[in-house]
Amino acid sequence: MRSEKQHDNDCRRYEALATRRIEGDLLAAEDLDFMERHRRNCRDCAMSDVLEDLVRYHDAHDGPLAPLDDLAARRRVNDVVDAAFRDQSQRTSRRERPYKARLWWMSAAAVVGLAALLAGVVLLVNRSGRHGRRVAPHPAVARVLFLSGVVTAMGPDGTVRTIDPTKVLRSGRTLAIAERLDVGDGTVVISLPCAATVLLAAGSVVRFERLGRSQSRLFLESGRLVASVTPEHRPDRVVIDTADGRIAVKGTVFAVSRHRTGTFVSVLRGIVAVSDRHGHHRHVGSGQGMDVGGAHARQLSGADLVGLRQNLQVIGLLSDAPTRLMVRSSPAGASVEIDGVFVGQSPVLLALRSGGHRLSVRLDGYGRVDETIDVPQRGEAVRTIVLARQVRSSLGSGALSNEPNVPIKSGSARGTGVRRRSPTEARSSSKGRVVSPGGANALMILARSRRMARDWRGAAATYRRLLAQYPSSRLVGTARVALGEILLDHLGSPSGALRQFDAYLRGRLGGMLGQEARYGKIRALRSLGQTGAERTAIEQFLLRYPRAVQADFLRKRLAKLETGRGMGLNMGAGQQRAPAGGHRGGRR
Amino acid sequence: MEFMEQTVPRHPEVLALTEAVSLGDRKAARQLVSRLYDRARATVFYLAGTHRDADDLVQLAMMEVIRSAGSYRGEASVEKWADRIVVRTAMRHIKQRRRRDHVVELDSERTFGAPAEQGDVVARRQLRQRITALLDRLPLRQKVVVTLHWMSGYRVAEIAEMVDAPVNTVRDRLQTAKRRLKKMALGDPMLRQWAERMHDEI
Repeated sequence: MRSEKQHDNDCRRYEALATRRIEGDLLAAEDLDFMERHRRNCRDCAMSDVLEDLVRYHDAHDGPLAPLDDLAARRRVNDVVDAAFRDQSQRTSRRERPYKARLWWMSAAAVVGLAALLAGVVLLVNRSGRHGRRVAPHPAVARVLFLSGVVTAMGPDGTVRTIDPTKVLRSGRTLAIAERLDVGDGTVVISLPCAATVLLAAGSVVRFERLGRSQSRLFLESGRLVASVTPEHRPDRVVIDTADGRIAVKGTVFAVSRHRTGTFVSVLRGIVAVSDRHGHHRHVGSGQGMDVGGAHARQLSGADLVGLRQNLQVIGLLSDAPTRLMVRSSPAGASVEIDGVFVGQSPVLLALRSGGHRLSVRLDGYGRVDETIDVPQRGEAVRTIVLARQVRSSLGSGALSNEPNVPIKSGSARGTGVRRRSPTEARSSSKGRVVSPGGANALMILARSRRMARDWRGAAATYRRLLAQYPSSRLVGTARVALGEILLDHLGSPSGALRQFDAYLRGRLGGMLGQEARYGKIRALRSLGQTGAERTAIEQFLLRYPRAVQADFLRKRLAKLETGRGMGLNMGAGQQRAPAGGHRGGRR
Repeated sequence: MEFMEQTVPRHPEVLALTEAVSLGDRKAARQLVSRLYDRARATVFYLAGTHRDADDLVQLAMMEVIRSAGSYRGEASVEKWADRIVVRTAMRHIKQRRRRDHVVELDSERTFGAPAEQGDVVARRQLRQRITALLDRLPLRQKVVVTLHWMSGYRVAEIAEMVDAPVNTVRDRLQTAKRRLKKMALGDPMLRQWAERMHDEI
C-alpha cells in the first residue's frame, strides 16, 4: 500500500520535473538522477515521455512548415491587405444589415431628406421675398489675439497690407484663407477656428491653406511656430506643412521651426505625427524633438523646454473673447509683462482673459511701472504708459522715481478699468532694480531663435551678452547651461563649457537645470581628458539623480574608469559615446 | 486651457506605422503584415494542422491585425501585441469550425496496419493523421496550450499573455492535456505500438 502511494508520489514528482525541464529550468543533479531512475523503473512515465515526443516532433498533415519564398510571401501579404481594406470599406458602407431592412431605411431616409430639402427651399424663398436679404452662415475665421510689431499680410488677390497694433483694435483682425502673413520683427498669436492657438515668432512667414472648425492647415515657409491645441478626438485637427514634410496633431503643445537646412519639431505635451516628403511616418512624444525627415526623435534640452513653456505662458494669457487691450508706452519699445510673463515690446495688442491682471512696463533707463488692470468680458481699451527717465534719488540707494502716468485715450464705456499703484507701491516694487530684466527676456528670445536657425556663434554671443548685461536676471542660469551646451557640442570649447556649467552649479545646487548642468560638466571633463574629476562628477551625479536617463551609461563609464584607473585610462574626445536618451546637443 | 498628459510610447516608430495603418495607409499595412506574417504562420500552423487551414487562419488573423491597428499603444513590442490577436482569432475560428464539422473519430479498422509491414512513408502519414486527430479531440483551450508549448516552442509565460490567462492556469491546462493525451494514445493500438517500439529502441 505504502509502496503504491510512494510510486504515485514519484510519478507526480517526475511529471513536475519534466515540465520544469521543458520550461528551460536547470535541474539539480539529484533531480536528474531521480528522473533517470524513475524512467527506468516506471514504464508508464517512460511511455508518457515517448508519446509526448511523438506528438511534439510529428509534422502536421502536410509535412513540416517550410519558409515561403519572396514572391509567394509578397503575394500573400498583398492579398491580405487588399482583403482587409475591401472588408473595411464593405463594413462601413452597409454595416452588415439585411437587404430588406436596409432598403426600408434608405427609402425612409430619402423621403425625410427630400421633405427637409423642400422645406428649406420654401423657407429661403419666403425669407428672401420678405426681407430681400439672405442670412450668411457664420464664417470660420482666424483671429489675431496678440500682436507686437508690424506684420505684413498679403491677401488672396495680391494686395499687401500692414497690420499695426496701434491701428487694429476693434475685435481684432481676422485672417482669410490663402492669406500670407510675414511676421517681421514682431510676434503674433492667432486663434484658429478648430480650438487651437498658434504663436508665430519673429521672422516667421506663414500661409493659411485651410481654416475650418474640423481642421486648419497652415504652410510655414520660414521661422518658428508654436501651437497649442485643445485635446479632442478629431483626427489631424491642425496640420502644419513645410517644404520638408507634414506635421499633424490631435491635441498637444508643440513647436515647428523651419530653417535653411530643414524643419525641426519639438513637442512639449502630447504626440505629433510627422510625415516627410518620402512618405515616412514618425511619432514625436512629449519632451522630444525631431528633424522632419530624420530617423529618430531625441530628448529636448532643458533650455528648449523652458522656451516652449514661456511661449505657452503667453498663449495661456489670451482668450477668444471679444476683449482687446492696447498697451502703448512713451517712449515705445518698452518690455510689457502681464502677470509676470514677458509678452512683447510696446505697442502690443492683447485679447486678455477677463479678470484682474498685473501689468508691468519697463524700459532700460526709464524705470518701471506696475499696475493692476481689470479686464471685463467685452470691451476695448487703450492704456498708454508714460515712462519717466530714471533718476537716482539722492536720499535712497538706487530708489527710482517716475512721473505720474497719463492715460491718453480710453475705449468704450465698458473699457478696461485700470488701478494705478500709489507712488509708495511703485517705489517699493522697483527698489534696487537699475536694469530692467525685460531686456534679458528679449535677448533670451533672440538667442533661442538663433539657436533654432543653427547660428551657433550668434546664439553664443547673444547668451554672453545676456550674462554680461543682466548678471542678476533670473534667466542667467538658463543662459549659462544653454551656452555651455553650445560651446561643448558645436563650438568645440569644452573648457569654456566647463566654466559655464561650474558657474551654474556654484550658484544653485539643485536648480531646474541642475541635471543638465551636471551631465554637461561630465561630458566637458571627458572631452578634456580629466578622468579623476570626471569620476568624481559622475559619482556626484549618480548620488543625486540615480534614476536619470543617463544613469546606466554613466554607471558603465564609471566602472570603466575604475578598471582603467590602474592602467592609466584616459579617453580623448574622439572616443566619446553618449547614451541614446541622454545626449543633449550632439544631434541637433 | 487644459491639456492631456500622455505617456511616451516605447516603440514610437511602430506606433507611427500602426497609426498609419489605422488611417488606411496600404503601404504601411503591407509593411506591418510583412513584418508579422512569418511569425503568425508559425504560430497557427500547428493549431490549424494543415497548410491550407494555416494559410486561411493567418489571413484572417492578419486582417484582424489591420483592423485593430488603432488599438496598438506602443507599450509592448508589436509582435507580442499581434501574437494575442493571432491566437484569439485562430481560437475563434477553430471553435466555429468544430461546431460546424463533426469531430474526427479514429477509424482503427481502416487506417490501422502494422507499421513494420507497410511502407515507412505511408505509416508515418497515418501516424501524423492519428496524432492530429488526437489533438483535435482535446478541448480547444488545452489544444492551443499544447500546440503552442510543445510544437511552436513558446514558454508558458508567453502563452499566458497570448491567451490572456494566468501562468498557473496555463501550466494546469498543459498537465491535464498531457494526461488526457496519454490516456487516449495508449487506447489507440497503432499509437501504442509506435510508442512501445520507440520505448524499446531507447
